[in-house]
Amino acid sequence: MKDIFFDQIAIGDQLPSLTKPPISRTTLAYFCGASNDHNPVHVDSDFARASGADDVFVHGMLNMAYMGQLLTGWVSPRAILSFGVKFAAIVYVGDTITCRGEVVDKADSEGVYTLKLKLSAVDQNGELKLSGDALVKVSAPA
Amino acid sequence: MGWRLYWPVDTDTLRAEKNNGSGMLDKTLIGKSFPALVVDVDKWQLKFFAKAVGEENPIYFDEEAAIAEGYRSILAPPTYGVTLGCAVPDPFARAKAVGLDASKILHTAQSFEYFEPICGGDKITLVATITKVFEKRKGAFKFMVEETVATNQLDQLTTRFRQTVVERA
Repeated sequence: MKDIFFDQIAIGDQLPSLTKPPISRTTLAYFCGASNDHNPVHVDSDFARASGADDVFVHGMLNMAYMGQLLTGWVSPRAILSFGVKFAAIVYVGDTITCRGEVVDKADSEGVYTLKLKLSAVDQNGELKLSGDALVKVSAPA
Repeated sequence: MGWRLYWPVDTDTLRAEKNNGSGMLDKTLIGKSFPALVVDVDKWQLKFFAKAVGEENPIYFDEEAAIAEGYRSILAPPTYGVTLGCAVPDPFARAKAVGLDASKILHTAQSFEYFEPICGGDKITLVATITKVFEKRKGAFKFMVEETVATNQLDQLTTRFRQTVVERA
């Protein structure tokens, strides 16, 4: 990961996008155990259908974890000051998620250089699934 | 599992059983902090989490790589606070206690502020407070917002996070 310098970033710059593999039932089973979220609507098709869903659907926190990977692929984990999302729509098993980020503001306060990022995640049809924002520290002008 | 539980299995579980899906929101719980949850951050589970999300950066699954980057041990990813908060017998206990139907709950928003990193081997104390309970569209949608403060074994603030859930109609 290379350093990101405040003066080399412009408002409107895009982060490199991150497209994850289609979300399989296996991935949902792993994430159920790994995340401590054992809600059966994410892993048990019978349960999901009985509760009115078409099939199992993806943990919101898995999609947020993917968005976190977009951030930590661009800046050091230590550089993230805040990170938030809204879960705009349900993501179903088999969907492919692409995470994107854009610099929407820059600030320099007492030698701390920060960027405000606007985040979004869409599925394979371009439908918005997550929207959010993050505040990250970057290096002082080179 | 590597975590230990200090969870309010008495009054809060009883209230959860009584109020779950009752249709009435119990707003008296706004501002109430629940007994602290103390969780040992398990290196094995961090590795499993990395596998589940297809993580390629070794600081999230290889202790040597993490130490080389200046961390105590394997680094927890940015969203891991929620996973620690779910290390309880019933992660929906608070939502049930305010009257939400646990079988219809959706997670609608999540945000974090970051201070010190969380690493494998840490002992994290989480204190959750219900900050908002409200309805929209004449009660068709019922919301609960809670804030959790997570401190480590050195009494350092690691992360503070806010979770919003809704009971769908």
